Amino acid sequence: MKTAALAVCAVLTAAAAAAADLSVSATLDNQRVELGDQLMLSVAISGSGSAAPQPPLIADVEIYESGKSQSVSIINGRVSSSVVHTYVLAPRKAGRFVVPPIEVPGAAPTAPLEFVVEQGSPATQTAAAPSPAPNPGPRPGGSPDVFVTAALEKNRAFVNEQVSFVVRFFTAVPLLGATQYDAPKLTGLLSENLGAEGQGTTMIGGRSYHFSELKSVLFPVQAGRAAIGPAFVTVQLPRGGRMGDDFFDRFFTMAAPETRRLHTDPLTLSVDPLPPGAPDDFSGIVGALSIESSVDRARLKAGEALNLTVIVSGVGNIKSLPEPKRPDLPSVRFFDSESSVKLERRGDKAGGSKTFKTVVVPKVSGPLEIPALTVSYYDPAKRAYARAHSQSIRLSVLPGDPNTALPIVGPGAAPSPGVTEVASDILYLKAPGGRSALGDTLAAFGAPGPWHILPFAFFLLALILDWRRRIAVADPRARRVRHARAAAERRLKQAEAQPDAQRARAVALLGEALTGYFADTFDQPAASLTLKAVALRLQNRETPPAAELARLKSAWEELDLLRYAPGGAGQAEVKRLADEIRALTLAFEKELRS
Amino acid sequence: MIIALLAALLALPAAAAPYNDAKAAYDAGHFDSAASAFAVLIAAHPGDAALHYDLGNAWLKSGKLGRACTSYQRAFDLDPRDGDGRRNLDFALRRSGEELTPPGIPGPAFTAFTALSARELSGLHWLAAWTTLILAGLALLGSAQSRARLRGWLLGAAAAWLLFGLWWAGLRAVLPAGRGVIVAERAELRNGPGQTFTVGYTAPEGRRVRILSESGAWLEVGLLKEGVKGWILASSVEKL
Repeated sequence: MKTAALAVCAVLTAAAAAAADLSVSATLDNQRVELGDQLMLSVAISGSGSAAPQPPLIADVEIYESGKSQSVSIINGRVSSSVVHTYVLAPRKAGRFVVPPIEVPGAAPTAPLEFVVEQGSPATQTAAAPSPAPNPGPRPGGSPDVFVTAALEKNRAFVNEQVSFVVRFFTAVPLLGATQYDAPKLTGLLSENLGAEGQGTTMIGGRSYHFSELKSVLFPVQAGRAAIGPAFVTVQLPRGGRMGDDFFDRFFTMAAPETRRLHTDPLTLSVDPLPPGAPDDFSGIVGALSIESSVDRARLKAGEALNLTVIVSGVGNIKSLPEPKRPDLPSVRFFDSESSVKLERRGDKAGGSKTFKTVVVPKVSGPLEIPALTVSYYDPAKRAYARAHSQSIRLSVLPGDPNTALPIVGPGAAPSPGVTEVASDILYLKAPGGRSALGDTLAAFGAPGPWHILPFAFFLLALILDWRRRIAVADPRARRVRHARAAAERRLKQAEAQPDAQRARAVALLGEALTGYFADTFDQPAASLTLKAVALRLQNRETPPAAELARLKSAWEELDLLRYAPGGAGQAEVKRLADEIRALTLAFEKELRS
Repeated sequence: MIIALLAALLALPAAAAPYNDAKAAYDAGHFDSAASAFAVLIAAHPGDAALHYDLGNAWLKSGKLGRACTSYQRAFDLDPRDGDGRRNLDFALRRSGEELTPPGIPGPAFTAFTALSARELSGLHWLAAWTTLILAGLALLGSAQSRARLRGWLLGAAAAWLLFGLWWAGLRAVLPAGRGVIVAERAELRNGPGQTFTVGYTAPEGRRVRILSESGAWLEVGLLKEGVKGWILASSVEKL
C-alpha cells in the first residue's frame, strides 16, 4: 500500500508539473465542406483544466458549443491532463473562412485554421437552381414512378428538443445504377443520424411502391424559425419510365438510362424558448436523463486515489452534456475528468450515455460521503424541469502515511506551516444549562404585563399633585377657602387631645377653630373677626340659616365665657363644644358651598 | 412577573441522563434518534438555547436543513452572543442560499446590533422606562433642590429609554415576530392560497420567511432576502 501511495504521490507531483506547461491546440475535422454541412472544431488545452477558451467569432458562420471532455493520461509515470472543448461550425454561405487564433491565458495562441465551403456538388447546384426539376410526389390521381418525401415529427419544438426527421424515397419501377442522396441544408439545427434505414413495400393510389427511408433527429439551437432545405435524391430510371418486355427493349433502356433528380419540399420548424425557472445546474438538455455514480473502491487510505465514474444516460442531445457539478468537498481532491460518449437509438429518439471518469483523492481520514450528483433537464412530455439524482457514496478513509500524504494535498498549493482548513462543518454539541440569569431576568421583566402601568400611574399622580401645588401657589385665597374646614378640624382635634392641665389651651384652640373657620371662609384676618360681623355676613345671604346662627351665637358666647373662666371647662365640656363646632362648620360648609 | 423572575433565576439545568442519551445517539451517528431526544428535552426546557442548538445539529446531520435552520434560529433568538450558535446558523443558512449577516451590512456592525436579544432589549427598555418615570415623578413631587439632584439621573435614564427603545424597534424590524423557516425540500410559492393558483416562485429548504397572513392550510409569506412574497402550504413552513 505504501508503494501505491508513493506512486500516486509521484503521479500527482508530476501532474502539478504538467499544469505549469499550458498549451492550446485547435483542429478542424474537415477543411473543405459543402454548404449545409457542418464542421467540428476541437480546442484542446493541455496542462490545466481551469482555463476555458472563448468561442471564436467568424462572420457568416454560426458556432455552437457541443461539449467538453477532460482526460488525465499517465504515460511512463508522467501525468498530463487535457480538456477538449468542441464547437460545431455551421457556415451560412460558400467561401473561404478562417478560424482566428484562439487565446487562453497563460498559453500561446493557436495558429489560424482555414476551411472552404463550397456551393455544393454540380447536382446540388442544379437542384438549387431557380427551376428545379418537378417533384413527382404523390398527388391525388397521380402515380409517378418515383418520388421523395420529407416529414418532421412535429412543427413546433423547444430549443434543444429533438425532432425526428424522415426522408422516404418511393419507386414503382426498377432503378438503374446507384442512388445518390444529398442531405438537406439545415439552418439553426444540429443533426444526429439515427443510423436507421428502413425499407418496405406499400400501395399508393393503387400502385405498388418500394420505399426506403432515412431517419435522423434534429436539435434546434435557438428560438425562432429553423429551416430544413430540400433533400435531394438522384436516381437512374429506365428511359420512358418502363422497361420493355423483350430483351432488346431492356438492353437499350439500360444503355441510355434517364437521370432524374428528385427533391423534397423545404420545411420549417417553430422553435420556442424554454420556459423560465430553470434550475441552477440546468445545461440545456431537453429530454429525459438519469444519473448514476460509482467508485472502484470504498475503503482506502488518505492520499490514495480511487476512480469515480459518473454515467449520465437518457434521451436528448447527449453529446452536449457537460459534466455534472462536482460536490464541494474541501477534504477531497478531484482531478480532471475523462469523458466518453456512447450514442444509441432509443425507439425513434436519439439518446445514449456519457461517462465521466474522475480520479478522487481524499486528503484526510474518516468517514467520507460523496453526496448525490445531480443533472437537470427539461422534460418536454411533462413540460417541466426535472432533476435526476445519483446515489450518494460512502467511503471509509483510513489514516494515510504521513510522509506521503502532504504532497498529495494539492499541486499548486505549497505546503504551509500554518493552519489549513480542510473541511467546513458545524460545531459540536453544547451542554445545556448555560443560561444567562441576567438575560432571563431582563426577559422576564420585559415580558408584556399590566405591571408596566405602575410607573405611568405614579408619574401621572405626581403630575396631578404638582399641578395642584402650582395652582395653590398661584391663588392663595382660593386655597384658604378650600381648606377652611380642614384647618378647623385640625384645631378641634388638637383641642380634644389636650390634657386636663391644658384646659385653657384647649379652649383657646376651640375658639381658634371656630373663628379661624369663618376667617378662612370669608378671607379675613381672624383677629378682627367678631360674632357680629359673622352674623351680618350670614344674614345677608338670600336664605339666612337662622337655626345655625342661633347655635353659632350660643357656641361663640360660651367659648368667650370659658376663655375668660377656664377653670369651669372640663374634659367633657371641651368634647361637647368640639362636637358642636364640628357640626356647625359642617352645616355652614354645606350652606356656604351650595 | 415575580413568578417569571423566580423561574428564570432558579431554572434548573436539563436533566443530565436524558441529555447524555441524546448526546450518545448523536455521537453514534443516530441523528434522527438524537433529534427526537433533544426535542423531548426542549419540551421541558424551552428557553435553553444550547438545547435548540444541539437539536439544530442533529437535524442538520440527518439532512433536514429546514428544521436545522429553525432550531439554530431559535437558539440565536435566545442567546445571540453565543458564537457557536451564530456560526452554525450561518453555516446552515448558507446552504439554503442565505447568510446570517444581511448583504451590505458589515459583519461587526451586525454582530454588535444583534448582541442583545429582542427579549433582553425589551427588558432593558422597560427597565429604563420604569426608572425614567419614577425619577420624573419624584422630581415633580420633590423640592427644587431634589429636582436639581435628580436631573442628571433623569436625563441618563431618559436617554437609555430612547436608546433601548429604538434598538428594540430596529431589531424587531430585522427579526420580526411572525417568522418561519421553509422545511419542504423545494417549496412552491403560489399567487394565491390554493393549488389552482400559478406557482410564482420556488424557494429552497431552510430559507427564512416572514409570515404575512394565513388562509386555511396556506400561509402568505415573504422571503426576507429576495423581498418577494407568495402563498405556501402551511405544512411547508415551521413557525419560529
